[in-house]
Amino acid sequence: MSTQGFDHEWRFEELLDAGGLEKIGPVLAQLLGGDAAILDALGKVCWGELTEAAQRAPLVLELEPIAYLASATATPSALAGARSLLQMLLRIQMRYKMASNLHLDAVAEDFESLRLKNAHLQESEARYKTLAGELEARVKKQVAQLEEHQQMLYQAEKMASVGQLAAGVAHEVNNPLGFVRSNLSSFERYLAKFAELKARLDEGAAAWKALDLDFLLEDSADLLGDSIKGLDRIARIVSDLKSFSNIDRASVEMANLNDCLQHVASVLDGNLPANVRIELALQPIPSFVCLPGHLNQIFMGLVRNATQAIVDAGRPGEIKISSELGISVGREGIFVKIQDNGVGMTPELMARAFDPFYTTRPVGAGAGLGLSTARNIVLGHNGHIYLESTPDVGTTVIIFFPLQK
Amino acid sequence: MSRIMILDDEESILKALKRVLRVAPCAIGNKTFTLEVEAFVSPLAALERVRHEPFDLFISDYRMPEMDGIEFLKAAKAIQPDAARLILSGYADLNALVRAVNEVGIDRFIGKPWNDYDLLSAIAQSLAHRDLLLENRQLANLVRVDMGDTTPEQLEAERLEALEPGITQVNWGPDGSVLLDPDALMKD
Repeated sequence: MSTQGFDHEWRFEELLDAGGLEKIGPVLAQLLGGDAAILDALGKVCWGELTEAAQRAPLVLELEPIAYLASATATPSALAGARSLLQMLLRIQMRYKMASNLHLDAVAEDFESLRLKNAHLQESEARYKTLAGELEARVKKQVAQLEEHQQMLYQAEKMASVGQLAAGVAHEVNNPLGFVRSNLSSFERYLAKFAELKARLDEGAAAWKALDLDFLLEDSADLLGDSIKGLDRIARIVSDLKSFSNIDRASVEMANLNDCLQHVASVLDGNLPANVRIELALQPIPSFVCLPGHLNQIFMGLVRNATQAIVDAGRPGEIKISSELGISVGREGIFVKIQDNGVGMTPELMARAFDPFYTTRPVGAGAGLGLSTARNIVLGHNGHIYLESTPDVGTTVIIFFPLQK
Repeated sequence: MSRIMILDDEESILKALKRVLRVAPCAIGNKTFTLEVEAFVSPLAALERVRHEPFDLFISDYRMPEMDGIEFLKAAKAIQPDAARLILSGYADLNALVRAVNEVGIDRFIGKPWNDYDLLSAIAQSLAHRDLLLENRQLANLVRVDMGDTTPEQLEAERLEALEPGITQVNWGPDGSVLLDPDALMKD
């Protein structure tokens, strides 16, 4: 850049290019009486034709002549005048060039600084890019780690729930097993007493009385009744467990949930306590492929739970069963809601409601498998089930079944 | 006659136990116990009864709605420390077993379903063990009286205190009266 600055020694051809010479040359020739030539600092002809007799006038801008004006025909005064004219023109041209160079320099400087800034920016951008890459890798790693932990937690929870299941089964089955077994041993002893009677038949009614057979007879009936009930309970627990684990699958059918809900309502309607009403609010919904047997079972269980919640609240209440189309998590499907205004649940109770064998009912009244079975069946339909409940206000069970595309 | 309390939240279990305990012989070695059984479904009702009647043996379920078997036996032990204690349960985790042994000091843990013979011999053993402990204590007391370590009056006071806690602590007033409720007096 410095070569273009103020110290620059301007050469003639820089100030007047060929086009300029073509314009100015003929005018000068006329002024000087016909013959004119312009030579550069080294004496080379730039324009016109140098004649032998031509006088030269130096064109000086600073110290050294940068060109010469030569003419054979001009008077000395005309040559001096023309020289001054050309010199003035060259000066103007020089000023103009200097100003334009200055401007160019300024622009170039700006451009240079911009270029530098750009380079810096590109560098830092590259740095951020690598940083972002590293960050992404780290996030990915951490997410993987989190997922692994979650998996482990889920496994632990599953194991805990299996443990709970085992504890529940043990308690629920061992109780009836205990008394049935003991009752049968007692019955064995009772029979031995009756066998004794055979040897004492000739004593007649006295022997019967002595052996206290009236009591034994009565107690035997009671004992066998108890035992049968106990065995029924074990059978029920086993069948609940079976549907809990979906051992024997029911048949898959195309069914409409409204039919299922109506069926359940009509079955239960006759058995409801006096102060409990069922209200159906069923919107038209399409049929879909499902296990209607299992669904009937869970709807039945849920309505029964709702009834119990109202009975526990000790006030008249109603169970609202509704169905409608809707969208959940971006999927279209059917919502079924079973709402009661019974006792409701505390948050602690809600947290455990789906645990297998968790029950608030007395022994024999509920195995605590209803909601956990319901959840398994709903999950088997790719749906989900959840509770909304407020103590003393009531509970709503909401089930969502997605419709297959 | 040995007085036994059985506690289970299930009526059918209680009935089955009563049948077993009513007729079957409860014997160990040459010792035979005749049993008088009281059955309770509710731990709270049972505890109320424990406060009023002495028992020789408690048999309790572990899982019950109002309070678990360990809490019940702990409370019963505080009232009647000399009675033997058994747990009869269908399921107990290790935690419960550790508590039952460490906190309550049960004599036996019997699983459900139980074997009638095992149950009876467990009861007989516990009762015999308890009789032995009480006899031991009585003999030791006799020896202490003989050696002059204690007096028959003191023994009688201890017996009464065990029977009715607090009965031997009398608040005498300055004028020789007996203060039944010193707090009430302070208020005046």
